[in-house]
Amino acid sequence: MRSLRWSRAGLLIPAWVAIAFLLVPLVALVLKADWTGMPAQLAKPSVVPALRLSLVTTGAALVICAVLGTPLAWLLARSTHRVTPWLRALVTVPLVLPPVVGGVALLMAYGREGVVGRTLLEVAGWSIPFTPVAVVFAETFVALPFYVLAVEGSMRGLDIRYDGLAATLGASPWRTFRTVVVPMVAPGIASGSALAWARALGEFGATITFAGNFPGRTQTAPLAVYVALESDPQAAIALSLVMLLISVLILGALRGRWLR
Amino acid sequence: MSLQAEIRLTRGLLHLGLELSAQPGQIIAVLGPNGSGKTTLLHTLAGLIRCQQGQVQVAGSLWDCPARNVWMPPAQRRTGLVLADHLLFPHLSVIENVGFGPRSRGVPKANARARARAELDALGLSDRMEVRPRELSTGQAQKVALARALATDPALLLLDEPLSALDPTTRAQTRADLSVRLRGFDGITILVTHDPLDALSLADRLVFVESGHLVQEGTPQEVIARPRDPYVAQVVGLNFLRGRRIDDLQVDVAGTTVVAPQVPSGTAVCVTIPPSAVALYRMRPQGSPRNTWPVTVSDILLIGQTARVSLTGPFALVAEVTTAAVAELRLGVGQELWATVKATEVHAYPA
Repeated sequence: MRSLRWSRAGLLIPAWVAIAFLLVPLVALVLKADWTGMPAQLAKPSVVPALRLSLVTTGAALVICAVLGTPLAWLLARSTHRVTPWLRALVTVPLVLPPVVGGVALLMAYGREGVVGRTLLEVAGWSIPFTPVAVVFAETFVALPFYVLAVEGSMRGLDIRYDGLAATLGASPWRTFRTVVVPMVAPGIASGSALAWARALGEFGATITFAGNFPGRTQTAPLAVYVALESDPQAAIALSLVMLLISVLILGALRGRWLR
Repeated sequence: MSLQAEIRLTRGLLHLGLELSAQPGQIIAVLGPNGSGKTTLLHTLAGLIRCQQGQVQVAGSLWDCPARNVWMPPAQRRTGLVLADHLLFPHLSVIENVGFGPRSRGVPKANARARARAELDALGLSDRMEVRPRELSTGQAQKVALARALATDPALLLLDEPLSALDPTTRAQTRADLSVRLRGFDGITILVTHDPLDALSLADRLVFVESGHLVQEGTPQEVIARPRDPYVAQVVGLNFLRGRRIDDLQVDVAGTTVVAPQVPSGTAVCVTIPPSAVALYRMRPQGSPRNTWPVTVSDILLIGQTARVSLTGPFALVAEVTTAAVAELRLGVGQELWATVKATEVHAYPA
């Protein structure tokens, strides 16, 4: 009995240490906040534009993820071509790539001297880096893999015979995709969207590298938190709490309906 | 609206080489063991698989002909497909499921709904139109799948084991509903099944396929009268033996003589014996019929009041005896018995 108790403790203690390790910083964030001054903190000129920019750019990134990522997920789920596994691996790369490296890569591609960016500037007069568009690029770059992998997993679980059946009923591939596949993988699309959005919202490294840190223009909420920590810790805490709240809400929505 | 098909293709281990033709209004049952190519045949007709050689021609239009580089995609063919599991779209109501085909073919929404309603009425599902598929019983779901396939006015209705996923009671009722509905359908129905009852009760013509090739076809009456293959005989419930003619009354089956009322001319002869004509005895009967063979019991299966007794001996036989006989003979696997068959019960015909 005694050895059993000890061996159980040997498992329980590290588990509780891990929980404490994860929880303590979050509790500290809540304890350190100046709750009475919170409305004033959130109304500060450095806070409001950052939050607004984050919402607008992550919203745009999410739309791009859905429009481009859903067909890509379909391709990866259904194609039996021998390059498909390589494509899937390629899509996963930004998932494991350090975000700063992603930012550098984006700069090399779409920067003023970049592979594509130079042509864009010469032909259309567009310059992407250090603009809100660059923020959207950076967020999409890191969020798209999350979206695609979640939706692809859900599409792979879909009985492939539905495709053939819809075809015999006269449905074109596009109609089958739109009216059969997408509605049937709606839960996967929802969880993929939530994951991708959360990832985009927290984006820091690629954004600061590729889009810079200009307040009101490319300074998203995470960048504003980092900057404010030096000059105005209470504003940083207030912004952090807002983002913690958003994260918890996303997680709650996911757990309740789609995860498990 | 007639069907002329010659399908040749190789998929994995299966080499399919079949010719099939049918007239409008006909119901053709395709029977065969698992892996014999029945489903591949249906998928090729539907356009989900391409022929490698041959051609599929329906109502005078060419659907598939590799030699002439013709292939019509499934969405443009006039086929309706029903599978063993209904595969209704779970996010659409019953009436939307049935209207999906017409809508996909450009029929305006109101007309598609009207058409769907008519199809569902015809199958007695008027009160289930607005529910989701998960609220249907298995039999209802299968009928909705049939309605969905019929709502596009297919030239070919392809049914792939449509009743096999249903429990026995539901299956009987659904089979009856299917029978009624199919009699009113003027296209060609191809019914893949391995349930003899489906084939015998629904089809005008039976087509037996083994390892991708035709082994026999004909009306149910023709097939029952003269099966040409052990699988066919098993489906129609007969003992089947192949032998050689000895004289007008005797056939040599694997070295044993079988006596029949008449034996056709020609060397190769098929013989069928109804299982109910096989009588079993513990001792060799005196003054017995001339068809008396020593046998060993290899399996016993009880179905209601009768027992199907599988026997090995000079050749494999199945006997159908009463449960009373099972008790009287104290039947058990491995037991040695004598089997007798009256010559008048033996049917010999040219192979």
